[in-house]
Amino acid sequence: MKRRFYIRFVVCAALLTPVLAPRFLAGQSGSPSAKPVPQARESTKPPSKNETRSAVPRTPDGRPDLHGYWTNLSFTPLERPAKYQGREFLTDKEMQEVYKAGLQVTYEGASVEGIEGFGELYNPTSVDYDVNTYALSPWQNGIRPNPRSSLVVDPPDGRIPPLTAEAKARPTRRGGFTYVEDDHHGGGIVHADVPADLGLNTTCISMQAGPPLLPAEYNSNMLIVQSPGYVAIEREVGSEVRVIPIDAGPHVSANIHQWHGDARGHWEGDTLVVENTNFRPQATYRNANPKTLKITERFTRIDKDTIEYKFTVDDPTTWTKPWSAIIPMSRVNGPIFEYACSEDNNDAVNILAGARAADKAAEEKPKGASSVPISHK
Amino acid sequence: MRAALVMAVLVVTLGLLAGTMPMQAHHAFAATFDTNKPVVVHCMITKVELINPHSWFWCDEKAADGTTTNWGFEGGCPNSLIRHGVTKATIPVGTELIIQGYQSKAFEHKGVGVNMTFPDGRKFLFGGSAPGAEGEVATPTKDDIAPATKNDDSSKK
Repeated sequence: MKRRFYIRFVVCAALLTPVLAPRFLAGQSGSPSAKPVPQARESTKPPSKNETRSAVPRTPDGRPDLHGYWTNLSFTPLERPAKYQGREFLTDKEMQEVYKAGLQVTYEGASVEGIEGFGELYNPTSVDYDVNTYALSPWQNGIRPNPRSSLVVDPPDGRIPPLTAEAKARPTRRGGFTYVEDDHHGGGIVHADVPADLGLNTTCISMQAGPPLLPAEYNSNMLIVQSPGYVAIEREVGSEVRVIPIDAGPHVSANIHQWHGDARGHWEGDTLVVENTNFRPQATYRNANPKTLKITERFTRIDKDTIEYKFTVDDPTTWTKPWSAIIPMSRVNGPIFEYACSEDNNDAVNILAGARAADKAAEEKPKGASSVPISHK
Repeated sequence: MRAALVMAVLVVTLGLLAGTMPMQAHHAFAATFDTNKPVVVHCMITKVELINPHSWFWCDEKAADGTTTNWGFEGGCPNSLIRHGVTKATIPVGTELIIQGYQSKAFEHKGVGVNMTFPDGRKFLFGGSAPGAEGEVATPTKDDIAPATKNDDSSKK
């Protein structure tokens, strides 16, 4: 009898923990003053059977069905190039030209010296493998044309607003990690003296699961699993899973910081809205302020093959005003595979040994000899 | 004519492509490999490791004096390879390849495998060629496996 009660207790506790834990943690405020606890936004009700419904697939409870495999690969730059100033959308002809050029560029990466936008994978001056050889190019992984001239849609000029003076003065090295100046939690390091220099991305601690969800260099796929109480997003690169509670109450205490922040979801009509706060200082998007950064994501399934993904970045201590971007998520075939990186132990050895070899070479260099770059980067 | 058309499209769209595209490699190859040390190794595959974040291809290079050197080359992440039907057996042990790459900064017989070709010059592409691109596609056939090594010891690194 006691054993049965114990089993029931354990089962109940296991079931209630994910429901109650956020509320419990939210109560552990670092402030002694009794501030009113912010209430969760309540989701709007799904449309009834008699109401007009769009033709997107729906779950049994009437919500748009986000479940499935998606990629957000895009040839579209984050910020709008000057030549498309004042134009959010390209013409059909321009869109096809960009797409075809993107295919060609990523196929013949070695011939596009100087095209900064394609990053290291397509930088002919980097020591890199041919991504086509290894089936890693966007054209091999489901990329589709995008009619927009930039991913940033707000401000209307398609450009990220200027940084505040405080943000410009902010150090890029936090907690032992070299933090990252670009769109990912890591980045291409050039030299690592100690393992901490390897960074979050190289060691696969926190990669590209967002927020925000940006195109990854490869394995830019996602699996979304949806239930009435939770939505989970697994990013293939890094195999990181974000679990988003729906209508789950306020955020956790301001003292708690997580690699992907603390997510709270609710439905606004047919759009899943996810508000994210409580980021870790070492993994804060674009070196924003983890105490003031809020990233709001909006997932809207607009047709059978597309989710419109919009994110808004709001951090008054980092940018002079909030800004938003839209990235289409296109349906792809599953499954996705585990990205078992094991903290990148192979590369850790090779990179750290490489640094020692570079140090030794520098010591042995005769005085007065010209400086020969170790690498192009 | 075709090349000129392609170039014209590239030039027209250069402004758009020159924007900041949020894509980036997983780790810095420059921290591991040395562009001042390019290598071309003609060797026979001894082992294929499909591990994240980078696959590794091991192969034996035979010198004129009969001595053998085992090389290791880093390649692309296996997830996309697996999605394209690649397995550890896609390049069977004994396949003769010419691997072009750059040597490791620290280890003499390790490197990054930029690309691979068969001895007859055909490119080895795991994922096929780009739509509209003039790429040759090749995956190993039985004829690509050196007859003398078909029954090679696959446990050899």
